[in-house]
Amino acid sequence: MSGSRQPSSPGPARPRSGRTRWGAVGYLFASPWLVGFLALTLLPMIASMLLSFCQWKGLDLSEIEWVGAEHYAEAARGISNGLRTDFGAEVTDKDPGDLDVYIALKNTVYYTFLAVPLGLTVSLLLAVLLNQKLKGISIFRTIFYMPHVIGGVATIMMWMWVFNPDFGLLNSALRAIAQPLIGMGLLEHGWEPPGWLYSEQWSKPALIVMSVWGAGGAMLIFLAALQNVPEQLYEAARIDGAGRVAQFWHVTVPQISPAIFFNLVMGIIGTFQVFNQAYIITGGSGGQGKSLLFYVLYLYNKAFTDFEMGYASALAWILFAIILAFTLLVVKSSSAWVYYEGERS
Amino acid sequence: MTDSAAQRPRKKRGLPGKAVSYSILAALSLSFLFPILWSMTASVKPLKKVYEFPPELWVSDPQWSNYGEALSKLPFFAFLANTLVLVVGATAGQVLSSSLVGYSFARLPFRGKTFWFMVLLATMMLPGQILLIPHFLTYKYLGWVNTYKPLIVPHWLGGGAFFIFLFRQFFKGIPRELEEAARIDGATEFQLYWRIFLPNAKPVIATVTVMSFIAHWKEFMGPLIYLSDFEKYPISLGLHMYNSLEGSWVNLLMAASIVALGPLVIIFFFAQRYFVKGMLLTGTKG
Amino acid sequence: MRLGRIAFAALLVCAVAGAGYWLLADTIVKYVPSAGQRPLRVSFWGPFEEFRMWKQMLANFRRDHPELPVKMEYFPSRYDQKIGQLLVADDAPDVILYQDEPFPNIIERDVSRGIEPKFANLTAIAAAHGETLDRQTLLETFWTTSVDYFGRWEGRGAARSWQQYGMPIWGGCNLFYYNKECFRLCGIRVATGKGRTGLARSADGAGWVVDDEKWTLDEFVEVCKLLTADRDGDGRSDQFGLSLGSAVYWLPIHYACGADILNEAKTHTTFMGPAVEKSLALWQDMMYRYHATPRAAELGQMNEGVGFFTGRVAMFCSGPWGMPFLNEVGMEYDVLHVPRNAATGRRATRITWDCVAIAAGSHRKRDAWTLIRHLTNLESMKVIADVQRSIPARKEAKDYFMQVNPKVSVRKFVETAGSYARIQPVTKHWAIMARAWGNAMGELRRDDPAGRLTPKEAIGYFYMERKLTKVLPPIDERQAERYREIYRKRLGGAAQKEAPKR
Repeated sequence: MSGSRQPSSPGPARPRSGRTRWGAVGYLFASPWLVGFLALTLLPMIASMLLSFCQWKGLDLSEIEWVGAEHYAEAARGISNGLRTDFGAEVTDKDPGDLDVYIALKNTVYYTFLAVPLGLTVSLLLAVLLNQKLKGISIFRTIFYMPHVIGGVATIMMWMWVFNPDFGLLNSALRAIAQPLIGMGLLEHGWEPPGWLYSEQWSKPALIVMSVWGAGGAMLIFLAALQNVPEQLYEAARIDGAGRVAQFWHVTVPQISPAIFFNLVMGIIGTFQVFNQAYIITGGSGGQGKSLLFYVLYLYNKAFTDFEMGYASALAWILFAIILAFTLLVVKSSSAWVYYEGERS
Repeated sequence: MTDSAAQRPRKKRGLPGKAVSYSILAALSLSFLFPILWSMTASVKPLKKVYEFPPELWVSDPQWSNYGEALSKLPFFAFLANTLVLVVGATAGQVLSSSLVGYSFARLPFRGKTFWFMVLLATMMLPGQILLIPHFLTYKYLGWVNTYKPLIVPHWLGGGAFFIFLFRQFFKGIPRELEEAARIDGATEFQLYWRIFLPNAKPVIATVTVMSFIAHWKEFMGPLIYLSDFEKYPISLGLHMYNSLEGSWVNLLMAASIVALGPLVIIFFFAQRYFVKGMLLTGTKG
Repeated sequence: MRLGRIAFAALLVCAVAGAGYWLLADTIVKYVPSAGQRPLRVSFWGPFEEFRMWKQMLANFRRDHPELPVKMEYFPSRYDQKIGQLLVADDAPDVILYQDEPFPNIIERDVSRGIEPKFANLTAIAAAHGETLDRQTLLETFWTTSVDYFGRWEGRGAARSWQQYGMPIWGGCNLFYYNKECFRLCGIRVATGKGRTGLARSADGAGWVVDDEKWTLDEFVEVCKLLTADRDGDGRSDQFGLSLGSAVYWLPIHYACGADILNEAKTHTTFMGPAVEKSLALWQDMMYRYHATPRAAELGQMNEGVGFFTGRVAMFCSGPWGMPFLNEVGMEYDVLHVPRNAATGRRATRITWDCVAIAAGSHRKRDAWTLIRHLTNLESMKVIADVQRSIPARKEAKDYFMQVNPKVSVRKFVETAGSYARIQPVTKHWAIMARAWGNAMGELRRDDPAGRLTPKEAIGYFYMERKLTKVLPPIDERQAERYREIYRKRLGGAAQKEAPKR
């Protein structure tokens, strides 16, 4: 559906009646967005930036006080002391800062760095599987894609029930499998399957499984990209004696690398902002041992439970900086591994 | 069986290969569907049986009355109606607004257009949390908290950078001849937009409508922050209410969840290809 | 053709006007309250079953006062935050159901910082109505603790008077619920008031008899252990003795150890010392050493009512609000008094009350007062008693409350309310204190043994937060600093090299 970039023909001069060079009409049409941008994006951004240097309970305007970079300092202290604690170093500060920021960040990074690659791999494999000429393949495609579309509160509730440690499907199945293994002495007597969402170690993996379930969106993009790979390249590779795996690695992957790039960036940005699952599963509390205290959940609590507007704003900007950093990292590295059409054969 | 250079999937495989593929696909499909199937079993059990171990997989005598009870115990249909109001309000705004703005970027010259377009693209990368608090404060001072306005009005102001981008790409592709002809007849810009471009943009409109509809249907954080009065709750918040402080009616919750999913699944089945198109428009060339 | 255009223009004008109205109506009403006449608004929280109770009470009100329409605003979640937001946005409901814990904060008056109570002074409103609402009158009608939570002395010397800011409506104290089936299966019988000691062997020697009027803390822990059983021999406990939810439900046991958070007069912070360490150690041991309490993963569901109802836990601590759900699912249960401190023989549990109050910014205080009078009259109290979710605040309704459900010893709630229940350690900084306390208790129960704090470290953790220590009643700084040191050592990783002690 790409339009022609060249003008169709230098034909008769187009009547430009009623339009000034300044383009008032253009601005008029674009005004909804312009107004929205100014009022709901630019000004709020400035306000948020200013607010991050203040302390405010969000109540009376008279109560705003300027505290400078104190919020950022507290978060930074928390992160550095948290890192120190984890790496076994001494914590000497009398005031170790906000350690919860570190915990929230750690949880979010852990989740993102597992969920995104796993999700991409699974969706790529699914796309490869779906990229076959089989009858009824579209039904399967629908089934794999549906969770991504319908995912929301209802599906989170369903997954919570699946993961329920006592009565859920997963643990019931695990216990059924464990019985004979215990009988054979392979598993110790009294072995218990993990507590999933209510256990410190297993709550994030459970969420990662949930997120992989919703990988349908990325899968579609991969599917389209796969279908755009020219057949001759495969022919050439086969002639050179490459097996299926080698074909995949040397032909498919480079050809679809723009799609990988896109999904990676979108995945990182989106996963970093995980909120709904954490809130619904833990009721806002961050779960057992704060294992599900993700960054945006922590931000939400600070803003709407504790009403610490200034601190929460600072947290939001820190999040922005981190996401930007990761995105730039991926973008910069992309020149090394992403091939666009017409750049390389 | 050589294929042309254009999009053709791999060559055909023999029967055993096909069988393997089908079985893998079937197994994967089951694993994708099982949360829903599992919830369905829970939704037809009486409460005591839900908390039974080992759980009954095939419910021998299903209690369909759970569905009736779930829908009446809480004002489920009110939630549904609320969701519709929200979704229709927001989606209509997004479609109208983003097509208008997309048209201006595609076809209307104005000073600084390239600059504003770059700004538009940049806003796509902005995480919403930065704006969360200022938005809340704005709406607080406007007196809009605990109304639907914060959830509908912003979508009329531009409709979101992504959809604007979609429309712009599409409008750019509409042949100039159509435009020329109408212009010679003396059409105004708005008439051009309304009579020529919009009708020709049906695929994009469909895609945007479907994507917007589903996104707003699932919306959770916005209603959570702005709505306090349970009568105004959309389904996403209403489902929460089946968990009371002292007890949890899991079977009713599952029944309600399945009913809540129903409209989405139906829309999805009928409008699949629009959704797919939308995803594809975004991804392949980055 | 012209007509079409005119019609179109007219439609456009209507649409724009309509949109303008929709957009601006709320804003205008907010800043010019007289512009809109709204019905009387009353807000409340609770499970949906209690919603029906409110409907009943308000239907009665409509019958008595048809000229005052009332709008119910039901906020099922994050009630405190929502009310906070609305109060500040000057858009609060007229009549607000409110809890005791955040109450002192909301009626705080600090002239130097321009902070005024956010709830209206009911004594003053009543006086404007020609009624007296002094402490004497209130104590005649309502339970003493309920009056104390929602009012305060104001003024000096001769002008000193009791000003009430919230009318108590209902409340309850925390007792231990027990699952009769679980007790039966473990051979334990309950004989309130009839035993020689709290826990004794039964006459035939095969079982036990518990007398909850007499039992001490050690006997209580024994019973919890007895109730923990692995029935199907698969190596994991099918039944646990006691479920431990949030820190606040631990209070009866905390008190039974001789420990406290603030002293009874709330003049000092006493969350330190050997008694507190003993209590925190018991909290931890119940879950890990004795394993009489299920861990979070073993209980799965986020609320204990379900664990109790399915027989997974034999006992849990709650107020009367645990009853409606259990009654509705038809289970066999009853309640027990809390155990006593072995040395002093004293026992204590928390009593909590809820009130109805009027927002200070309400423009309809007189009508709101009429509604409050109705909500706290005897008829409404009976509606509340029927639901069994709380003890009605009016003393005269207590007999009715006890008679509604003969299967459960509801009288114990009432007896306790009148005897050993004590006010919670509520100050105007309750929120921050409760959170720090909850966090400290949470750290004692971490899954990972290396991450789990010891009682001393947990106390140190509690005192680390500077925002908290600034607002607590006076602390013994030297002792607190000692605890902080212990915690800092733990943070610095030094303690990780040794094996955890508990």
